Amino acid sequence: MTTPRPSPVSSKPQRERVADRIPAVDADLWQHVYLILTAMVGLLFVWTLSATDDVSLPLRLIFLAVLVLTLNRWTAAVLLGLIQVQLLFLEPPAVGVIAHIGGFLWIMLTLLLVLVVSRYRTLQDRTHSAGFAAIRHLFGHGLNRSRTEAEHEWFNLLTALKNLLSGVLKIAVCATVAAVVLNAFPVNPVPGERLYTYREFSLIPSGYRLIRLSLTLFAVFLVSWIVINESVWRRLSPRQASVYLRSTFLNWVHRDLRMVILKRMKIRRAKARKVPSMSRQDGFDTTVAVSDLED
Amino acid sequence: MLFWIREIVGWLLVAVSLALVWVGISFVSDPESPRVVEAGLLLFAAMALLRMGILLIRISTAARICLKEPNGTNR
Repeated sequence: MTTPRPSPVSSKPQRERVADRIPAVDADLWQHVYLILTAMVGLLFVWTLSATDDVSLPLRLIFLAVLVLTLNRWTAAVLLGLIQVQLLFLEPPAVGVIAHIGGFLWIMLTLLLVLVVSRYRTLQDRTHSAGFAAIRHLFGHGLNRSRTEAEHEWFNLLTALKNLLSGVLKIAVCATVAAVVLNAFPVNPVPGERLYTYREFSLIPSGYRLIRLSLTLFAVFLVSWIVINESVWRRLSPRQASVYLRSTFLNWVHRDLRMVILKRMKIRRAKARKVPSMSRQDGFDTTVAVSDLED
Repeated sequence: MLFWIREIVGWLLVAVSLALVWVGISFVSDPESPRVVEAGLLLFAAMALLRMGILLIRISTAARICLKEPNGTNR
């Protein structure tokens, strides 16, 4: 008995129904929210940099420039890299429990900054409006708006705040787990009740022995892996070798074509996932069709 | 001949990467001042070189197999 297969490509009315179910997102308003949050968290971030005497003025200015340029041009990865440099080389020796709490809050602040900047950049790509245009729209639009618009914006604001709180909660959990893992490191303690700096950091001798043995084992594994894999590779059939060559050259020379193919596959998979929920109402069994599309 | 040159270059890259791994191990083995961060950077570079070397070896091997038996490529 054959089961009727629905068409993998949904018709236009079906697509419209799916589009109607997706709630409209006020990207402009969210962009404003994240712009304000970026400014606030950025100011706090710069303030924490200026609060320590060990950070020189040129470095503070570089951080400020990176922060401003991140809004329009750069990604958050640059910001994270510079923060790592600051953590490794300029971390001042702090004293007591307050130093631990201060460091924890500083990491939270940094990750929060990266979060809001990344979110702002995503919305900016979506709305194609610059940061200054967003500020102008925010101040100009807030003066004269109707009640429906105000209610709509309030709803969007609540949703944005809910998402932000969820992000902060995730960051707090990740930072706590990282702190627990780092505290489990077998570190040689420094004299006194202070934290060690980068130069003073050292593991206990057995820790270094463990690293050395692990690296030696890894090197032995690497050599044996290379020998076995390369000897097996020479037994390829001509057809397999041809497929490998074509795939590699497609990756190197026609990267754009590969991107197009991957994108089409992604869209087809997404459509295939939607088919069961839509056809379940009609009583169709679509498992066969979905598996065909996945292939 | 070109494929052989590529394969030799690939094996040279693999040898250099293994040498880098050995240097990284010697960094950690120094009892006076073990340098873990530097060893990590060296290992990272060694892995990149190893990947390139393996890629060159595999491509030259596959090309030689295709040239040796060209009928196998027909569909």
